[in-house]
Amino acid sequence: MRLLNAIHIDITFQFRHGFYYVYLFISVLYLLILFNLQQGIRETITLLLLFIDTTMLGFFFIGAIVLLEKGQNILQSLFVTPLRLSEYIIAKVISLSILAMASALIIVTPIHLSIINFPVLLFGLWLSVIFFTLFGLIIAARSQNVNDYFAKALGLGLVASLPLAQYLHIFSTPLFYVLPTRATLILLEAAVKPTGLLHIIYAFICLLVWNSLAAFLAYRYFYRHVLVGTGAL
Amino acid sequence: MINVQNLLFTYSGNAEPTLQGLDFTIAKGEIFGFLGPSGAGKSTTIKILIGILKNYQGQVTVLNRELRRINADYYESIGVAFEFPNLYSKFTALENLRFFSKLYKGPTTNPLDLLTMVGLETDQNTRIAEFSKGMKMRLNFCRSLLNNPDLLFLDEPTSGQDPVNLRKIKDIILEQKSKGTTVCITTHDMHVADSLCDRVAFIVDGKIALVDSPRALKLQHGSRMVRVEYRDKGSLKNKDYSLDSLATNQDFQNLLSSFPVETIHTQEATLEDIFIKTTGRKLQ
Amino acid sequence: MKKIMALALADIKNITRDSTLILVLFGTVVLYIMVWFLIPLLSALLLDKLVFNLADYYLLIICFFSLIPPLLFGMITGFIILEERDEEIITFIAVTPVRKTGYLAYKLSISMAAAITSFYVLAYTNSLAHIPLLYSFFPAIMIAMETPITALLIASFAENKVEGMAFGKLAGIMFLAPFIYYFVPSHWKYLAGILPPFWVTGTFFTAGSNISLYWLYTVIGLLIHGLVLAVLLKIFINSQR
Repeated sequence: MRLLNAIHIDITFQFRHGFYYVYLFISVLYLLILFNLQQGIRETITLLLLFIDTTMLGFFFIGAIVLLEKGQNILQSLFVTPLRLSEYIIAKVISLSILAMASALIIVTPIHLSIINFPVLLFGLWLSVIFFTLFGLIIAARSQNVNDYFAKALGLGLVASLPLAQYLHIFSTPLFYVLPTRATLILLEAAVKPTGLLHIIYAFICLLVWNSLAAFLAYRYFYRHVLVGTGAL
Repeated sequence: MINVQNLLFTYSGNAEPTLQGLDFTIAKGEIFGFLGPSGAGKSTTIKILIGILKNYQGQVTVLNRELRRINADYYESIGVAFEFPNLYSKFTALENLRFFSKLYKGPTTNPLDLLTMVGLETDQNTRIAEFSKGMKMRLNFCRSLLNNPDLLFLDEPTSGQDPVNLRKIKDIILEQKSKGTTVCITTHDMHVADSLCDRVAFIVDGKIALVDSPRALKLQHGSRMVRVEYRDKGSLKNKDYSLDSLATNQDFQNLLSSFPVETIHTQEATLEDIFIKTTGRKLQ
Repeated sequence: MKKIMALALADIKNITRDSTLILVLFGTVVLYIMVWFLIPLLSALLLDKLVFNLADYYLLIICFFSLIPPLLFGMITGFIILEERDEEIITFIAVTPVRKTGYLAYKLSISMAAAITSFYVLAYTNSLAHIPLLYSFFPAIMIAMETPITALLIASFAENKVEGMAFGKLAGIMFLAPFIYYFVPSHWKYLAGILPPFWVTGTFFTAGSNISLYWLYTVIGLLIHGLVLAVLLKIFINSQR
């Protein structure tokens, strides 16, 4: 009940700040462009867009959302109610992932005939969105303002994007397998081309491990640096 | 209701403790005021009492529970309004209150009734972004009352309010008291403390300098005199008499019958005077 | 001059205190590394493995990379303005002799200068492709104007940082302009002409080859940039709370 209410207010908040309009517009624009691409390159570009736009959606927005709530003292009001910090974090993650998944469903329509494993695509994307939102929360907890968040997010985002080099056949190293983004790319590729079950299982386990770690750190950092520290009170 | 013994608190990174051993008890249904200049430790005390700062030393028992052992359910039974409030600016007053009321398990007060009490009923569908600071504070005050709290913490509840709204807020606080709610207030407005609080604590440099009822303090620290202001051939004059033998004081009787009297005031001390006298500090 | 110095001094203090400067420097360095090293590397690899000649697209790539500094710096400036509006710094400056217009002119010209410098360094230190120096002036002007366009798109329409992110995302559509210009064969592509960078791309691809078209794109491009900028400026000046 409390959680549902928190998710509801987050979605309404995102709606009123224009997220849904912007994403509808951008997704439709992508759709038009993708429809005009040749088969073959279309799949590559679609998966690329899903990777850099959909999975990083939460990463892009969560910093500004948290810093706004902190700056406007909304967090003060929230955390003197029975709302748990865990519920606050889950609501943020779920609300943003709903938007991301809705956008993803629009973007994949031009390649729907090429998709051989839809559940893997959806579940893989969803886990990745969750990871990046939690990752953003961790950074936001340590950031002073939006530009500060950008600087940190840009650096860490670039490191996270390194496995793209393997996706684009530029460079590969077994080290990439440690990164959650390598797992994301494996699952995205598994959606359109046959992939060994072992690879898929590895990717899911990798994302689950990273998500657990990120959830733990997000909770801890938020508690320490936002709630108790200078932030909320 | 609240029992605090030897409360010590040091912010991490600070050498000096912010709170240097506080002792006080607050009874059920009491309005208790923390008075002191900014930085004295008022807000820190409140933050500990509402369970946000946990690594304190000493004993703090609130609602019969040691504060270190509370969980988020504690917030079901308390209400808190901070000095610099803010709610979701893109939501209306009513939407904000409805959202917050759904965070509680127990029965909540109808948001519209609360808005009416503080005179915001005509602004119920206005976005907070368009609210003035005073309106935001009153809305935030409403938010703290949503869950019918047993214990209410108000940080500077009256700052920035015009006399009409000040009256409204005071009345609501007194009404809460009459329902048995315990109220903790921090303020540096002596008039508010004087007219609302059953007891006040002066906090300076992380210590409690004094705890008593405003009335007792004023009598204890004042002189038992009465000052009469009167007109003598157009110029304003005054004269002081002891309260003790006023009924038989001939000089006093003569003055009343021979000059036009303008004011008569007993000379009890103001809280401000007492504060300066006991702490050697100004309040602001 | 003294006023400008005062503003600059305050900014330098701010910049050393937060990560904005790091963001600017870091973004620029990443950009240069890509253009100097990664693109040639990628190109060799693609040619070797996929017999795909990336060199055919060098001018497009350079055009795309030239747009990153103005859009990045524009976004950063936009968020600084939003932040300072939240903290009422703008209101404070507006009642000093600097006025709001002085504040805006200062903020925007700093980021424009940064974008123009970054463009020239990028355009003439890479070994991939460049347009004749003689024809670089007008595209550079347009690229510089995209900084305040992006900044104002965020600062004029967004009520707060979160809305600023949404508008920032929308501003990101401008990155698509070079690709639309290059890949869409039909005349439909001119619909994308409402995106200012579309015309920058146009001048890039005609500078060495089709001079009359180059001048046509330059004139239309300057008009579009000027118009968009004027409208945004008007909205910003009027919308200030």
